[in-house]
Amino acid sequence: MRNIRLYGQFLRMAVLGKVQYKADFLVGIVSVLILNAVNLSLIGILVYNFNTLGDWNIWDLLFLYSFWMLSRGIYGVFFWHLSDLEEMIVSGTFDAYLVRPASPFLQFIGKDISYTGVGDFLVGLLGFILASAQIGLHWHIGQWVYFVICVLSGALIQVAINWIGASLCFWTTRSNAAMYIAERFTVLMQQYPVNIFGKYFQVFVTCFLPVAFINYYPSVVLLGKAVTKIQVWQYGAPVVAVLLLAIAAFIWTKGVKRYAGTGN
Amino acid sequence: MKASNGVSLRTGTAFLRNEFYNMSIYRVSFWLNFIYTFLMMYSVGYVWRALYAANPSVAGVPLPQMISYAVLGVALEAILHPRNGPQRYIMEQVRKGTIEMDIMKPIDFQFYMFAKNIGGISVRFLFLVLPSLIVAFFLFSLELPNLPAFLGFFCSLLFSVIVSFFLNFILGLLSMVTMNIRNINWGYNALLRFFSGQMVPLWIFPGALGVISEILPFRCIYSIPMSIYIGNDTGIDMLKALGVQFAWILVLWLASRLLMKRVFTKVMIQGG
Amino acid sequence: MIEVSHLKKEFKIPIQKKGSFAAVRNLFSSEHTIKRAVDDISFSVGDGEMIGFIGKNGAGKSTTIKMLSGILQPTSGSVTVNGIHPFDQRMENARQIGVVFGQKTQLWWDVPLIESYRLLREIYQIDGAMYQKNLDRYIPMLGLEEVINKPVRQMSLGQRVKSDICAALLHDPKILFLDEPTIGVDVVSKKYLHDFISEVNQEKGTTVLLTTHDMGDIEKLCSRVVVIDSGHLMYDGDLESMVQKFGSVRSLMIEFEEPIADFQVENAQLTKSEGNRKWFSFHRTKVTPMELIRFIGDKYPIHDIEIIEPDIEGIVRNLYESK
Repeated sequence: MRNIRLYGQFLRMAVLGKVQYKADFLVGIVSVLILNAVNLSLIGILVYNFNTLGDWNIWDLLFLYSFWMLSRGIYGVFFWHLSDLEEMIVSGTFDAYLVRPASPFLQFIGKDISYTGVGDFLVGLLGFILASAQIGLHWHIGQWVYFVICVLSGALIQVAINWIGASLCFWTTRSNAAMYIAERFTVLMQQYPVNIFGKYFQVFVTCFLPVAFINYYPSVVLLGKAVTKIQVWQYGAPVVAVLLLAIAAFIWTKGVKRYAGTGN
Repeated sequence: MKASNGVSLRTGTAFLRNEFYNMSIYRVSFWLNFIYTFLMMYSVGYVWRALYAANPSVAGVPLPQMISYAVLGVALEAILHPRNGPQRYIMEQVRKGTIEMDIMKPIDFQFYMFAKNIGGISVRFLFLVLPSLIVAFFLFSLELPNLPAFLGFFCSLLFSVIVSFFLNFILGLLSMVTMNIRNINWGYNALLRFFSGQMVPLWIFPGALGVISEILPFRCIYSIPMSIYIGNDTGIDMLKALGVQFAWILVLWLASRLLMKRVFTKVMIQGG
Repeated sequence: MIEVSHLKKEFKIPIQKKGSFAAVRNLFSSEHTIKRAVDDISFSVGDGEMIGFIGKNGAGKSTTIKMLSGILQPTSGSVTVNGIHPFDQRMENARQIGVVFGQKTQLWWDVPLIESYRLLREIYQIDGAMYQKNLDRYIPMLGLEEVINKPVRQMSLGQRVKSDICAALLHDPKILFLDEPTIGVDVVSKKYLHDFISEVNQEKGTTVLLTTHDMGDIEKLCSRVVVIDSGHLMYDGDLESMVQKFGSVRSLMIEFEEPIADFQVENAQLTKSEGNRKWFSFHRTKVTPMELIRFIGDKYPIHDIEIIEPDIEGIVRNLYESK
């Protein structure tokens, strides 16, 4: 309870700090819009030329992309600065979190928010409305609930992956390269239906770097895109999210301990 | 670029050694980069295979060539991505307030940045691009281009490195005036990815988008060398493409010199 | 208040290979060496003491402070701060200490200072009346009235450090750790800091540990000095004894009535000669100034004399160089 209250206070500080840079806000939103326009246009051009991509038409793909953007927006607003950890470890500013009577993770996570996530979320929302109208979705309440849960799970999966990535710098000092690579790979995987990448890749993005649970499997389930029949585990996004978060928290705790052992 | 040849050659090798050494210290990053390149090569290969499976003849070139193109687009990212440009360094110096020291060095600032940049790029080319291309060549059983295409490709790649340097350098200069340029950088990355033909070849762009991509300098960075490599631009077309790159180099060089002069005057007057 | 016994801290440091193909070899393997940053240090600090840690950069001062404040875990040995193990009971320890790193601020960069203080109040769960009382007292003492509504990024270094120290004391910590608090700070702000710290120490009995390179800090604040070199404790005691122990070389300046050629004296060395004045340095155990003056005065007419005691700066320099 105290932690939630504190987190709220931290976020208030982050917002107070952010409003000092108004120009940044505009440029940030515009950049996000350009970035999304580019990603969507690239897929658009491909489908414009080839009509379909492994049984997914343009609206299915927009649905897939918007699904990802919704979850990425939520993740982005609150956790985008996970990659700042490397800089904080190298410069030693992380020390400040260890001499205060509050959880270091809470202090680190509360230090910033990012409005680029807002842009992502809006793009996702717009895309989702457009795609679902074109596809003609008629969901019952259960499907809507599942949809919302999966968007949140997707956000948490991204939090967990980046949290793990950032925590690596407790061991290697440099972790941003790894995070950047995971990010680019995720971006590529989220834009296309995973089944086009062949068996090995599907196993990889299902079991090892489970980014397929961010938007692919939920979309498969919700759009009925399963190749044969929907498998039970394909509903598993929330479970994956919880598991990954637990792993991330474990690695983080180990990392902070190790930091105390090695300094920098 | 004022420095004499002797000095520039020596500075050049010094930077080269330095960059390689720096890269080797972060061993984990280096190997991760390597793995990443392969993952990306593999996956873009699959995307094209899936697209061709439905419509084999839409894209204008046969699948093996398209895969060569896509694989090259991934491999070259290791040297042509804006994160390898000088703007990160410039931004960092601006943030720390030490950029004046660099400006006042008795070596031309642009040349200094170029030498530093080329050092890093050569190392990344030798140790990331080449090995991954060689492995990819066997893995995907790619076809080797003929000799003129090969020579044209290397010439064109050199030009594209220079064009990319100038664009990055201009962004770096902007960071001296606008301070926080992270978001502008982002937008630039996105535009580059789109209009350079790195991911999707420009010749399948529909009407207006195709025209815009023709006008912008970004195609000099990925599309031109890659098209030459897969044999899409041969003979007179190849020379024309090289000419376009060269023209852009001149334009961007002039533009960056002018901008540099203005920005420096401003920075010096403000005194940091 | 603080008990440190046989404290050790070792770091693993990767060796960057040198020589031909060093970079290629770096890509495939790494070797480490163990560096002992703190090597078998013991000391104890009483309630309300003010102690200065001095030593070269990398001598192990900051590492010691970091172990006392719970940031680093000791490799071996034990530390207790007011009965609490700083690392194992990090949260409990954090409540009773205040830490300031002179080189980096712990305040929120982009928001007005008062907002940082409000948030710290939440973090430390400071009682409202106490918070207000401390603010009302500290802000005028440090001269922070004009910056209290300014974001930290717009402050001068002096203002920033003052704000940081104020922040570290809002929760009435029993112990205050200051890691190079006056580095780069202007003389006026320095004076503010010295006065402020001594006053808080006297009024609240706060124990203060500080590391510094500025002998002014030591002279103004610390009755006790700890000298650390290469991880070893070289000296622990009061300032005067340190001067006695290490400052045994004094100087004697003699101004003569008329210009005199250089000459040698037994047990003393001529170090400088300027017009009618000459400086001699001598060991306090070997000869007394009176003996020297008598000896020289017998030969040449003396106009004026001055005995120059070694300054702390010089003593510390000797200490560092003797190793």
